[in-house]
Amino acid sequence: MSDEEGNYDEFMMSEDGELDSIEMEEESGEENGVVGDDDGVGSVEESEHGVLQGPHLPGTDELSAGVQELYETGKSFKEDQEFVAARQALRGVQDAVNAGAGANGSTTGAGATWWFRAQKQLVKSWLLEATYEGATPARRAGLLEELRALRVWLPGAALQRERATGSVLRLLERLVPGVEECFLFDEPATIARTPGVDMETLRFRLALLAEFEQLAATMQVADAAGSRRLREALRFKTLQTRVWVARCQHVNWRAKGDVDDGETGGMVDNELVAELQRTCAGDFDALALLLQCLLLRFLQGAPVDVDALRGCLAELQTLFSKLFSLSQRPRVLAAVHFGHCIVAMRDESPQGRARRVAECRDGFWECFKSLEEIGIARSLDNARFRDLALTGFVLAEMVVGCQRDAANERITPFELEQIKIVESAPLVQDLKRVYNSFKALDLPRFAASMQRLGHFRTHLGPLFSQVYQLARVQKLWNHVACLYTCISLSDIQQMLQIGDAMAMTRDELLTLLMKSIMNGSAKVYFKLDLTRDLVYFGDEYKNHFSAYTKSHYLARRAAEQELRCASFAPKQRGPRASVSLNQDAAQLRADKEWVDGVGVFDPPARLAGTNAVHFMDELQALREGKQHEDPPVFRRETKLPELLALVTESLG
Amino acid sequence: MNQFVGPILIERVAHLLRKDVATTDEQSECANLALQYWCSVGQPNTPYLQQLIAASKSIPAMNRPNNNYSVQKIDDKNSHILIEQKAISHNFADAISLLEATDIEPSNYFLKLEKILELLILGENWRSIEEIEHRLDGHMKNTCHDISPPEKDAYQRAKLLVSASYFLQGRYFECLKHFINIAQNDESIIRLLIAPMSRPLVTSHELILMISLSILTTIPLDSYETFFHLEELEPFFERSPILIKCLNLLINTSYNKFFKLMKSTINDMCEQSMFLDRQWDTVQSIMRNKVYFFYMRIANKVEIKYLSDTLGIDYDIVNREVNLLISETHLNFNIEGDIICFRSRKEINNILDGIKKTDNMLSGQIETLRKRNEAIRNFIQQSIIDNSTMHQAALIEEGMNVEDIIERTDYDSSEDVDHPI
Repeated sequence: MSDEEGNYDEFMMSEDGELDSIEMEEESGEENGVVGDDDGVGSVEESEHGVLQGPHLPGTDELSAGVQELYETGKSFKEDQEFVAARQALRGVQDAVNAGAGANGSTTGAGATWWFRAQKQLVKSWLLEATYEGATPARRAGLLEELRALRVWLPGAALQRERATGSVLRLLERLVPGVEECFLFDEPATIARTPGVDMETLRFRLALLAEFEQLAATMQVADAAGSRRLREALRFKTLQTRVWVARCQHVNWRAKGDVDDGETGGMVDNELVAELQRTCAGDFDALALLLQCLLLRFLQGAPVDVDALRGCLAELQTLFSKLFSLSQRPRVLAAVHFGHCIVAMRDESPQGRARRVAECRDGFWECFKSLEEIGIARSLDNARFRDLALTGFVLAEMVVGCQRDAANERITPFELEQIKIVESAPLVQDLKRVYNSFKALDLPRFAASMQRLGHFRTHLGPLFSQVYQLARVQKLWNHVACLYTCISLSDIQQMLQIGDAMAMTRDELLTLLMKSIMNGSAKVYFKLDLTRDLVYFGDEYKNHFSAYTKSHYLARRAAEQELRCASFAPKQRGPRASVSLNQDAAQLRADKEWVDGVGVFDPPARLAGTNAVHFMDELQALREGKQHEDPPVFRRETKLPELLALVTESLG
Repeated sequence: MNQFVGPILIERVAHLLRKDVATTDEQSECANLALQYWCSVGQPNTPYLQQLIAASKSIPAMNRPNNNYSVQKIDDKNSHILIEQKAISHNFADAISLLEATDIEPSNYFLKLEKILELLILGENWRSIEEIEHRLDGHMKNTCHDISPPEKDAYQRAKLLVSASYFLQGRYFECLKHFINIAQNDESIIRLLIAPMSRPLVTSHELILMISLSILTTIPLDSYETFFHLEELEPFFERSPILIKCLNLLINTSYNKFFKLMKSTINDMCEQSMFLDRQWDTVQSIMRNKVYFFYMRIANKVEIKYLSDTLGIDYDIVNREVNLLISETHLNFNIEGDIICFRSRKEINNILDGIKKTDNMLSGQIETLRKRNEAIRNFIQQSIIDNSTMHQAALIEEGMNVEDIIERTDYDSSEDVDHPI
């Protein structure tokens, strides 16, 4: 229920501005009931009619009619913001019920229902009054008082138990709504500005929650299942409020300026998170809150429990797939996408690195789009979360874009509508400089512009290093290799240096060169002279490594073997001879295995088999040498010694 | 050693003693264990008896070579011991015929084939293994649905043993291919690789290492990365952390660390295993040569010392092996001093001396011919002169004038010069 209302509220809020939001929230609750909410649980009014009709007993009609009229009067007063008059009317309802009870000897049946409903309206009238006319201590005290009265009277009320619980649950949601207007990890300034998220309100909510606890305890005997549900809701609400209290404490300190933003500053303490983790299973709101806590840790630069994050995201994903409406909440979606990016960035295994960068790109982009939907992307507020998402997206796009071939070049990120809108923001300008200098492979300028993004490095470290690495690779192949035919390693190191801090070592350069040979990314053929540390670029260095071919080599080995056999033959007679024949075959096979393993005669090829069996087939074809015929020049060269021998012989 | 039962126990203990890889106490403990077993099956002949007794530091009560079991009627229980006796005394062919002759319930068919495979591997009778595999597959086809779990396990273990047998023959590619094929058909086989086996011939740990080494040797350097990303092999990679380590190092061209790992952890694992130890030298040689050749692919010139330092392999080994690699496979490289240099058209360079020699021979022969020609020409010329003088004298005598005579002699001599021989 709270979800739906919350979503609606957000929508309203983004249209009308923040100041009206409380009002809208209150009214939306009422309106939802009148208009008829689709989800069937959100309707306040309808359910209450149900409560009314359920215990509608014969012989109480007269009482009901009068009481109902009075109740409706009270309600309409409340809606017209005539709170004093409203309360008077509602007390009248209760007096009438009490009087009736005196006659009947108990407040059972319809009387109790009316009393209960009137009491609920009393609570709400205080809530509305506090909302519209300012939450003074007196009004809050009044609210608390009426809530307590609800508890005192409840046991006697012969309500249908389940409905009573439902009713109390809805009341709880009204009195202690979740915080939907900002992220737990938003900037302190944003949080401080968000209505309803201040220490006083939060503490008051804790007091209300304590009161609800008592209420639940009272109800326990009457409706065990309902009270368990209520308790669960209470536990989460309490936890949620405590989490926000912890966050606000920090925000307040920050505002006062008497706390330095240390490592644990502003973090929700671990016990709360651990408790949340224990109890969140299957509960969407709890999971969303846990996710925010984990993201807060990440944003504060504290170590994040990636497994917890992964688990939380997986559970949310399951809930998303079950209930489509959940996936329509941009705030949670933004956090979820961001969470996925953290998981992808923290995974350092070499397997699927390219896929993970693409995941990061998409994740950050979806996150940014969700933020755009709720208006954060466009706001001029300082929002680290949004900035990280945008920076992450651009950096990941740079990496992914490089791996795409140039032919189907996509539009640059800055041509995307969502970014165009905020084009003038300093961050977008910085990102543009990074992007352009990267594309132009102007490494000094690239280094300088990356410097300006330095404060994101702690969070986006893996992306940063990939971008740096890629800039070097691109520079090497697109600028250095095609310009020079011979250049020293140290000169290349110099050219590939990014900024002052990031010198490239000789080993790093060699690794880069060697890896590019192995993964086929070397765009120009090259040879190293490791005695003088020179690199020669150019296709003319493509050479054959051996004058022999594999079949040639194996044939020669076989011939040698035969020769050896022949010379030993006289010694081996009888059964031993066949053994030695077997050994010869084994020896030849070992020769082949050895030369295949070393790969001297096989053309250097990267096998592309997409599954293991296919891969092995390809490898077998390579080893059998089916794809390549001996080049004729090879055969001629191998014939030369024979020719020479012939000449010498005929001359001699 | 406690996990090994049967003839393999004696083989493994003998290997341990041969390699001398354990402490004396451990060795004597193992030897005692083996001797205990040896006594329990009636002290058959074993080629390792001397070593075992020496290491155990105690002499077991020797019976006379015991044939009790063989004279008795062969029933299930003692045929089993008889087979073990034959295997212990390396009489594998007899052991197998005994095993085949034993009646085993048809529901234990795969168990029996597994046992036969074990004996074939112990006896290194590779050729029969393929036949057994045919029988395995044939029987599997017939009974694939109603097969009991222990039989299925035996079938899978037998299949893995076939993979292992390829490795033991040094056919690493076949080993890997076979394993991938069986893993493809039956994913649960990888699960078998972690479960501890009871009475194993080859432990699952050894099997994993065999397959890992087969991967390292057969997959080309350039393709490690692609291979590493094959999704269906991920469950296997997870079971072989050492392989993941190796592949990561190789992909990142950290060869020094890779060879360090080979020399330390993997070396220890392989030396201790009687099966892996047989192939370990070859595997190492392939890996080293693979990396040498990679360096030769990317470098025109590189010092042997540099290779030795960079790869962390002893200079002498690098020097010997690179020389051998170049000469064996006729690589277009020369070793000049300490530097391995690329030489294009090395074959032509190599026969250059020969060509020079034949050139000398040819010019020598031409010179001789020329001299002979000269001599003949001189001789002929002289003869002509002589002749013409004589002729002149005769003509003058006959009364001809001098001009006529000169004209005739010129004509004659020019003809002679054209055809010197």
